[in-house]
Amino acid sequence: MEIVKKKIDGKLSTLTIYLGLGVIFLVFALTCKILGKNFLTLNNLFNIITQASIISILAIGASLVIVTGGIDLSVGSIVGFIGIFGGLLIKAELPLFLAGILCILAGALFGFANGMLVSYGKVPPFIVTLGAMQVARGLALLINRGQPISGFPKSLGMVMSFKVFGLIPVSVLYVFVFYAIIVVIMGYTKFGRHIYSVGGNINAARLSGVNVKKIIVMVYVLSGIFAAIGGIMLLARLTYADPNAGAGYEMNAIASAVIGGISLSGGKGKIGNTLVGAIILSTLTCGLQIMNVPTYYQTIVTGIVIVSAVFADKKKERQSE
Amino acid sequence: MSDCILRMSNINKSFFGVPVLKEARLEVLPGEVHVLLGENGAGKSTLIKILSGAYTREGGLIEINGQAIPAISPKEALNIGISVIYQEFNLIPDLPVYENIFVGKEFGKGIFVDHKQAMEKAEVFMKKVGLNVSPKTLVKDLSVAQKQLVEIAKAISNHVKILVLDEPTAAITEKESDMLFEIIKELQKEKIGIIYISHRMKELFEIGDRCTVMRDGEYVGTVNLSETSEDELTKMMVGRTVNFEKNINNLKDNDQVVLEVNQLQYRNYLKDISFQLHKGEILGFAGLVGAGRTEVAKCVVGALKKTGGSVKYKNTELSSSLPENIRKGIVYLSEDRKEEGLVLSHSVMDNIVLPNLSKLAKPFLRKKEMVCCANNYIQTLRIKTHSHLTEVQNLSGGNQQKVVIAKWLYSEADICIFDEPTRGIDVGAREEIYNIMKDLIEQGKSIIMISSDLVEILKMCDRVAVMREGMIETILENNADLTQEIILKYAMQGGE
Amino acid sequence: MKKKMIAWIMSIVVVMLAIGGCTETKTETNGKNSKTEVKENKAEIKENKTDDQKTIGFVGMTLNNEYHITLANGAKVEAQANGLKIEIQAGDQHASADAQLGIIENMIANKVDGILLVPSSSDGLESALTKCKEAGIPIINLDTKLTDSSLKNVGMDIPFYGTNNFEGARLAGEYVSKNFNKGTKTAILKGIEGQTNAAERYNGFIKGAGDAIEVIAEQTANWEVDQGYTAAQNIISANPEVELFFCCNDNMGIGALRAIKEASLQDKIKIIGFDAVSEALNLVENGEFLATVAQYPAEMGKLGVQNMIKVFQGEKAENYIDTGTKVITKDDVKEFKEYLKTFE
Repeated sequence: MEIVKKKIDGKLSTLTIYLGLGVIFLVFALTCKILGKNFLTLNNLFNIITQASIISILAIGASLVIVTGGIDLSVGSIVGFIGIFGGLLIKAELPLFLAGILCILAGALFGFANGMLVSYGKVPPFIVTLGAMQVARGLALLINRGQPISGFPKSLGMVMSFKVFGLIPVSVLYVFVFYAIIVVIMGYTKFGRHIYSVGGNINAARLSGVNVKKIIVMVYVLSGIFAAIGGIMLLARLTYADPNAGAGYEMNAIASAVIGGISLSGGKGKIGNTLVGAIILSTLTCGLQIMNVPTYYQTIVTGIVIVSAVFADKKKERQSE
Repeated sequence: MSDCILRMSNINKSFFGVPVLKEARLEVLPGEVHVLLGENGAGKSTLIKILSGAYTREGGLIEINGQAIPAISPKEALNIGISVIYQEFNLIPDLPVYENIFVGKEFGKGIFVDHKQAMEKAEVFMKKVGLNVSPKTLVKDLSVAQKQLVEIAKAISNHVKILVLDEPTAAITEKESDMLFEIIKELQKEKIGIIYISHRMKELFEIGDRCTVMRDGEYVGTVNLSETSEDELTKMMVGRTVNFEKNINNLKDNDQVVLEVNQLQYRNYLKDISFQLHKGEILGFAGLVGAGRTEVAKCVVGALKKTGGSVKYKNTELSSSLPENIRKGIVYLSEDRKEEGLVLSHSVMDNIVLPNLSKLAKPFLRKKEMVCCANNYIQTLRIKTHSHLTEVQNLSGGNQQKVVIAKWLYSEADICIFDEPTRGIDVGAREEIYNIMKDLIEQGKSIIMISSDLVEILKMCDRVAVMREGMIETILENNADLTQEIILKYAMQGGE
Repeated sequence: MKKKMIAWIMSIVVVMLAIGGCTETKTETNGKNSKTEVKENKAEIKENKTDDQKTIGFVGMTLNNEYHITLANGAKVEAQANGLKIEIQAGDQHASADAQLGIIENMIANKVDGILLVPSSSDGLESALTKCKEAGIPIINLDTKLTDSSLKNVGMDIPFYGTNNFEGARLAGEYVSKNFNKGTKTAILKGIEGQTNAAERYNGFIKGAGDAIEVIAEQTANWEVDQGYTAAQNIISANPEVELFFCCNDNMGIGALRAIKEASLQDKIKIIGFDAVSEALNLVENGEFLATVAQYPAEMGKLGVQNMIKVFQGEKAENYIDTGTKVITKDDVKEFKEYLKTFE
């Protein structure tokens, strides 16, 4: 009996979040039905995921960094930078594929600089990435003198709006593919397990032969890469590059991770749940907009949900005290 | 003795069911320097922490000037005049001396602080302890000895009745020690009771009046220092010979040296460390806390970067890269399970597989295999846990230690360095850990065992390296003549 | 234990409901394609319920400043007067194209009948426009004009009602050239670098003022009060001879005013703002602002709704309406305030 209970306890923490998503869906579905609005349609479900897609990709990086006990505030600005950088490359008539590769390299470079400063420079991650956030935003403004870029070829838009089998938006597929990959990496590779151990107890990890510094650098590089992918996705979604784009995205990404149960103290959390966290956030926005709730309330509700999610997650800890 | 300033009697305390104090006693007269003596783990610091309110006692009585006091908080202890000066000072480095002296009891009206008054008052106390710096000096700019004086000044300003000094001379020069003794003598005149903890025999006789000896959490006796000798004190610390059999090891192969350390240096902590480890041998490292045993181990495996000397494994020089050395089969099991040995918030399985992921990843890890491997060790080492998914923090100390051992057993290490492998572990689990070590030897591995438990050293080791103040004092064959007294003598007094 | 069982059961119920809901609507969408009864039922319900009441979606740039709130209120008042439903949504504080795209997607999903759009950027909403085109939802563009190249790219022709920022600023410039001496030492506080209306207001003012002004300092203060304050402080200490501040919006002007007051230079330095927000109108009234440029945001919202009704009735909407701008000074501020009251 004791063992069964333990098992359920373990599962329950994962379950809380699905339960939360379920409840939110239920509330919206019922309310919208009463109001005579469309919420539970396949199209709208795709909409929700599409709207969550960019944040959820950024949230992968955010989660990885948080699992190591760090934080990455620079991703939003990197999204803005990549938009302009990629936009310029495409305007210079580089093939989309090549431009994409260069963008990812640029993102990786930002991440590498962050990682080196955190691991070898011993500067706190909050400070390093706060600086990188400013630098990336400045560069985004600098390289095109603050001007936005528009008038891209149609093919760029297809990167996000193409529908597989004429039904499933390709952006939805990106999300699931990237999450599938990262779930495998975190759960079933040496690298993934090392990331958890670094966040759980950096000394024990080092003495167990984990190359702690390398892991930290790699994690920030990945965060930079995912930020770049997010930047490309935003560029393609809008077919428009704005140097101020992506402001505040880092906070949404961190919120997704936290709602998904990634512990800010590091070492714990299931990366797959981060996706659920991101979807919860976008479901809220979407549902509240469909119900025509004024913008001001939307922000308040979102704030309350973020705190309640963590509050519910910590319930077990409080009880054991 | 009704004129005692402090009387502690029949004090009990246990951690996780392991008793660390058993009917401990201590009586201090006003104006005396009372030495508290005992091996590592004898219970001295636990007793002091109970006095200072850091721990709560589980029984017994504390009387000050004949008045019984209830369980108290550290703050209350300060208020009734108990001050403890630990080796790690309790000062705020970025505040000036005078603010440190009066921290928590600032002068002034309302929310405003009267700096001028505080400085003037501070100077009075500073003069008393012979601290000749400006009260505005930041504490971080002071020398260790000066910081100690600030602590004493702080204690005096608290109207101290009982002052505890924990190894006060460990980090200061001889000249500074002499000055400290002068101040202690001044304090004696003011009828302050001083409890003095130190391992330096010579200075005990110089400064101390009486001495209480503790062993295994128990009171052994109190003697006048003018009527006793170093040898007698050593005997009291070691006690009657415990009945145990020395482990006879026929597997040690003297011809085959697996590890050779030559003139190893580490900053100013280690000087000229040289020794050899043979195949199938258990080499013990004895010495007091702070003698440098852990540093030796960490330099050998590469967790610390040595600043000189060489470490050879089977005649090839070892690099100072920890992951590489682990791959070669040299592993270190930290004395500090919680900080360095385990990821407490992770499961038993995750901890066991952590150093062995390279072996398991092909290139993806399979849950089944990991579970299988974890359960295998849970069974063979008899780790008591709900399942392989239980978080390690929910295990008892002994079982946590077994998890640490399992980590490295699975990695098939060739040389295992056990640092205090049985600290905080109950007797039954100890035996199991000894058996695991014997098994390792039988498989042709070699072991270095760092331990403060001399019985364990004598029981398990083939040879014993005794360290003192960053050097190996001697390396002794563990034959029938070797006793705890001999080892302790080297550890405390050196080889003279 | 019991609690946990309940949690389990609840979650299963929720999942089942969610799945149930999905499949239900799935059949609905399928039904729509094959024109079965489901669709007819639905259409009936809609007719009964709404009595042919149409819904307009209003997509604002933001709703955290007075100008945009007035714009939205103009549309709201007009829609209610005509018995229409209106859904007002806007991005949060970052005027972001991504947020607007999301809002439009959700409005399409919820089948609004027409969209009034105040774009966050002139050419950042091509994706959103394409989606509206695919869904066959008419759009009217308000306030900030979508660029011609954007419209060409998506192949749409969208009516636009708004003011010309350049024109408004030019009027302010002309006012200066009439009332000031030649070579008036002028400082300009500009909006966010790279925004179209920021550039237009700047250029319009320079054009209108001509040689009446000598620009001795210009700073970007990002439309914000606090940044206007610091920028003005710096300008005053570097150029104590400054005589006139032209601030590309009232917020920056309010910041500049505080800096000027602190330097006790109120008698010497005049301020002209832009937008005619209520605080600025008060300042004009008591003489602390020389003038501000009024646009008629409420008119835009109103005209947007009126013309959307035309579209619903099968008529053609006006293609372009300039809602006009006016320089508001002490003389006409009272009258303008009266007009505004109708939209509070």
